[in-house]
Amino acid sequence: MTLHIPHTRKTSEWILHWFCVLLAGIIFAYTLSPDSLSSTAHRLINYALFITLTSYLLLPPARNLSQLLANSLAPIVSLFILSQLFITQTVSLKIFLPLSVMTFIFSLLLCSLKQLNVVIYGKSSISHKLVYLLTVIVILLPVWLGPWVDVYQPSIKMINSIIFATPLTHFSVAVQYDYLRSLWFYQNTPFGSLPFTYPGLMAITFNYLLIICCLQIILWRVTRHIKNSALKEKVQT
Amino acid sequence: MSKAIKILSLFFIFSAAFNISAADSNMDSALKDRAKRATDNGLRFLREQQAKDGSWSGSVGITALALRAFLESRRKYTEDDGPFITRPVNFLLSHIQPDGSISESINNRNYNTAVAITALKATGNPDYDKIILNGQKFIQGLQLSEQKGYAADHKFYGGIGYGGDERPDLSNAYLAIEALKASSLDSNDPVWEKALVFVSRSQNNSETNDLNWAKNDGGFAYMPGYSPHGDAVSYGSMTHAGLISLLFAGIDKKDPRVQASYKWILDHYTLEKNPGAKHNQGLFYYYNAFAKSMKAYGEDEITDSNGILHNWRNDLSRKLLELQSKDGSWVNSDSPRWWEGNKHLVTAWSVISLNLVIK
Repeated sequence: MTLHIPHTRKTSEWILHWFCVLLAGIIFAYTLSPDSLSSTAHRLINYALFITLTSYLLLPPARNLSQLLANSLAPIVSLFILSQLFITQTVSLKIFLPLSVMTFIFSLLLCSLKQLNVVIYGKSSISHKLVYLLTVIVILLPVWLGPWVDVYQPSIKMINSIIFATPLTHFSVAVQYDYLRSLWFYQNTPFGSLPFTYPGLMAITFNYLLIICCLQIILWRVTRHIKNSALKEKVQT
Repeated sequence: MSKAIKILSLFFIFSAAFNISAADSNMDSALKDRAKRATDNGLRFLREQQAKDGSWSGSVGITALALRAFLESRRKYTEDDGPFITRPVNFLLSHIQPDGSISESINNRNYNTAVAITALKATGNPDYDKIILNGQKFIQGLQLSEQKGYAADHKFYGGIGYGGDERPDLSNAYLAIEALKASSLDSNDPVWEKALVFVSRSQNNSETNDLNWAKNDGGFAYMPGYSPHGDAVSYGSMTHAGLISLLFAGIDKKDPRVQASYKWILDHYTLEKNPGAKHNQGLFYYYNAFAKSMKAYGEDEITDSNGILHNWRNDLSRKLLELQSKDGSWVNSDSPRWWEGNKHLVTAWSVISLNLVIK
């Protein structure tokens, strides 16, 4: 399956992309409070999310399966370089491996969404940025839903659902890191003081793979439909 | 006639004995009897709610606290009393991790391990000594010090947190200190001195706190410069937690830090709310810490800053009796923060508090 994608990119689009990258950088850097010598796991999670989002914006959409895999693997390479450059402590394989797997799966999901977007709306469509912004919003669910949770005290099920929905949880579970009780989140969101359970790594992985499979099936069907329509049109003319 | 005199004499002897016992703590004897019945009802509730695996709420922390409530009760339950004691012990033992921690998840590893080793110690069974020692080492390993890159002048130095991140707080530090004390950690171990640095830096007492944020009311905040109830305000639960930490770490009652915190307690003496906290948050945690700190301080009758004389045992008993539900449980109906919407946890805390009151 090969997608036909034009290679031009406008300057305004680049500027918008870089603005989005900056936004992600500011948001994730902010959760690392300068008051604490934040743990290695916390830094790595922030780096992984930042790199994955940046890659989503800057890498061209995949045209086939090998490009899709290459685009999804790219953030892991950047994550390795960043961790070597900026983290003084030794990053154990026990942390780095599961984080890499989660980064790969999350990138695969975003890249699949990008592929689908290209096929349906075309490359220059604003839908990529919307996906990006939606992803940032979902990542920051515990932050912007915090005041609502504080006031309305929803059920434990609802709290667990919010926690399950955010990729921050997925990355944290991968490295066994209790991010909701880290300094910034504890001081700025109510979740750390409420009863909740982090989901299991298997459940998270299964959900991601299920969504990715659904997206790929939709992509395959849409592409086939477009090809068939084009063929019919050609035959008719 | 002589038989009647003998019976009457025996009655007076027993009455006198009971009065002397009540006079030990100057506690109202009728109230003490009601408090005893309340602990029985609380323990009955817990027993009815116990899961098949012996746990409560499937949590190591809550199971350890409920187990402690049974073991320290006036009934003096032991493992010989049956599966309702042995199964929770086995539940705790089944969650021992290779690093020495006792926890069912990555959440609350310090909290869970601290209350678990306190409960295991309360069984008095020497078979658990090795497990307790490993738990001790795990808790000591969580302390932020030079080994973790924290210099002595860092505001978090000496602190202990939940165990999932390098950020300490007084609540976790106090539970760790209580566990280390209960499990008889050597009083010369450097962990005490470092912990005292953190505890002192969490106090609003500029005379003894070397950090700039501290005000001068003598109470304690959640961590240096931060309180969940706004700014870095002192509040009841943390001030009692701070006082317990100081006393358990071997600080003398005459020490200015102890005196400043005790003065805050006298200035804000109440059991109607957790003073300084928002919306009655952490109310039962406050009652629990109140009972422990008052017992550790060792004065049953205290005169608050308004000149009113209080017997803390009577006051706490009355309040907990008033708040107990018909089924024997307790719950914070005003706020579920810090798990106080969980009946198992809050009942365990309340029974532990009453156990201390009637001892």
